Amino acid sequence: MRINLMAKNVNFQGAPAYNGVTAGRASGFLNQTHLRHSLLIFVLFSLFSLIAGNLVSLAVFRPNEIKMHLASPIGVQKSRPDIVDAEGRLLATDIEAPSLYANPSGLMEPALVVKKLKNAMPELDEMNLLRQLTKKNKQFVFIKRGLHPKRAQEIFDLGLPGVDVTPEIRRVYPKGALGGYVLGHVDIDNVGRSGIEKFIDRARSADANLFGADKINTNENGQVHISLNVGANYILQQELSRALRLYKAKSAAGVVMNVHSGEVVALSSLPDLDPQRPSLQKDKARFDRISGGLFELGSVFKTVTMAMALEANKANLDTKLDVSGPLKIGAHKINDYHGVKGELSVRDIFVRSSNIGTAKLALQMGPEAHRKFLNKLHLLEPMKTELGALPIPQTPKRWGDVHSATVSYGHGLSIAPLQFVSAIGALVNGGIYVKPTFLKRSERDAKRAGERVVSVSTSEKIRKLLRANVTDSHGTARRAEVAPYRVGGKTGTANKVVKGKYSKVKVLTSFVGVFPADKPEYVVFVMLDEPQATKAAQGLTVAGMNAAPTTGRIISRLAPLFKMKPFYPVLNRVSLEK
Amino acid sequence: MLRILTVAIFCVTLCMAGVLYKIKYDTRSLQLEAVQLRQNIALERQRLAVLKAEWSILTRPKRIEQLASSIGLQPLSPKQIISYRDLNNLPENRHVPFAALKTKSTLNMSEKVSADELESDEMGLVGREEFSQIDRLIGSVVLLENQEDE
Repeated sequence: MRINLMAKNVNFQGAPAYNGVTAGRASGFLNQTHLRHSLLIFVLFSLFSLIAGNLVSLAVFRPNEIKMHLASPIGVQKSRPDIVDAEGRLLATDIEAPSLYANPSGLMEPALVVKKLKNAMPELDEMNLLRQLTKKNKQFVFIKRGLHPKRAQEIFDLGLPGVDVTPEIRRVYPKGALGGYVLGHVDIDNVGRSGIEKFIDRARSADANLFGADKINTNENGQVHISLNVGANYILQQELSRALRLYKAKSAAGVVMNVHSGEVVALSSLPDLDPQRPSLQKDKARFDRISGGLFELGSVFKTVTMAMALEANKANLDTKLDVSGPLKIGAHKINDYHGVKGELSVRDIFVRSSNIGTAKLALQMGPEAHRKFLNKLHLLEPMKTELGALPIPQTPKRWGDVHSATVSYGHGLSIAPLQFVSAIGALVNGGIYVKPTFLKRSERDAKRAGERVVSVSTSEKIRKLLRANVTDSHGTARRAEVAPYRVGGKTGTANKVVKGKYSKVKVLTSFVGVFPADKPEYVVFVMLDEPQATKAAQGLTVAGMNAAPTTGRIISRLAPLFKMKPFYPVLNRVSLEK
Repeated sequence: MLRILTVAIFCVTLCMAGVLYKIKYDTRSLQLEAVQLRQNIALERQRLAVLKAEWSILTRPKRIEQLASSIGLQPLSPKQIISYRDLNNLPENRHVPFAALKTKSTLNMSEKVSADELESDEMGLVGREEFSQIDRLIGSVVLLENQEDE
């Protein structure tokens, strides 16, 4: 009401001027009042409309300010997606891990504070901390970073003046070193530095999206699904470390790949690396030998040479070749480990791992055809996976007969094991090359992107050869057999190059195994560096004595994990009873 | 007549203003509540992330293996897998696999697990609370075992 009166007053004050103008018209008093009222109403109405409008706008637009004010918490931009294994088990995640810090210049009694902190955190380095906290010129000292939130709360509740807690995002790898090389690691700013972690950052950055090259497939929870299987990786790691102990090798590495989808199911390289402690990487022995090392793999390579000869129809499994040694090419001589005089069939050349026989098969083809075939299997070209580029294969500078012959049994060509394993995958899966991947991928997607490298019948023959190598009484892979699962495989014992010469003592043994042998689904590759002639290996350093049984053990544990039915030709009461 | 209209309009405007103010303040308090809820959700998410990480640590294959062997479980043997078709051909007095389970003392096993977990404590993730959690877990496993014995 007061506003109303005041408004009227204002209006009345203006009225005389108005009256003065209209007086000359000499209209009636009543008419004048009516006009006045209308005017009054109009003015009042517009005034109140203004207020009402203002109110509405205030009520509608003001809340925006509040929203802005309480913006998202710090550090969200640093957060990374979880990484889960093929079956959804957590491998890497972000957690808020508070850090404890102190302001030494504000501390009254550093000694007392340290004592109380020591009570709460027994693992604390008392002396060092006290030295840090007595530096009066310092304003900020981290006491401990990456605390368990519950623990941080406990310490916060102690109410120590000058000691405070600040939230930080920490990347944690709950499965420890399992799949550590694949996962990679992040730096203190939560930026991916290697492995899948680096891949995630690359894929998320704008550059990658522009080229459309790398895409991460996240599941409905926004998690990155990788191809590793925690259980399989554990088995691999455990068996490798057993082999390391048993055969006193310098290092061991292994990989399991699905031959149809190209998914790397397990990868382990010992000594391994816990992503939580990337500083261990400074240790030169800690690197991923499977996708980060170049090796002359030796006789396992004969599988490739066999495939080449069979694919070109230069030979079939029963073709006989003279393997009497030595084989002379120019000034070079090639010898066999188990020397045989006379003729051997192609099958027996493979089973007895004859260098001479394999070299002869390669020579039949000629160096150029040999090189082309290896190229077709992507064994000579640089290769890239989600973990980054593999080391570029070291190939002979020129391909003469000698080079072709030595490469046929795996010498003179250094290659990353993963590159070799994917070629073997193609040879046994029906002849289709699929690129290895560390991300979850369906068989259909893999086959669509795959390319035929050898015929179905060649693939069939390679399976037979690999199986024969295990079942034959002369087979070098006999010790890989693990009934009732059917394993196929090839051994490789390569003399290591020491100071530019092949060492007579130091070897690198490897085994490439496939299972189930008649229709392989997985390929397992195991490599031991400088195994010793221990008692467990019956005093020998050949792959058949160390890498082969190790692979067998791995397969016998993997098969039930992958829900594979054991193979019983005819159900035998006696064998079951045992 | 006009005066009445004026007063009426004025009153209505005043009422509307009042209602608007109320709505505005209600909105604001709701908004605050929403913000609080959002913060709580974020907090719960963080806790959840910690719990998930802890769960993942507790289900490390090595630890599960130790726990399983402590109650007498063994890795699946291929002999235990048989096709449905072969069921009829089973030898008559074939042992039920479960009968082979041996019960070992769980006491020394629990010590082993704790020692193993100490290793992961270096990461600063598993606090002392989790030891009791592990103890409880072992306790429940033992409980199940005893129930089966009865």
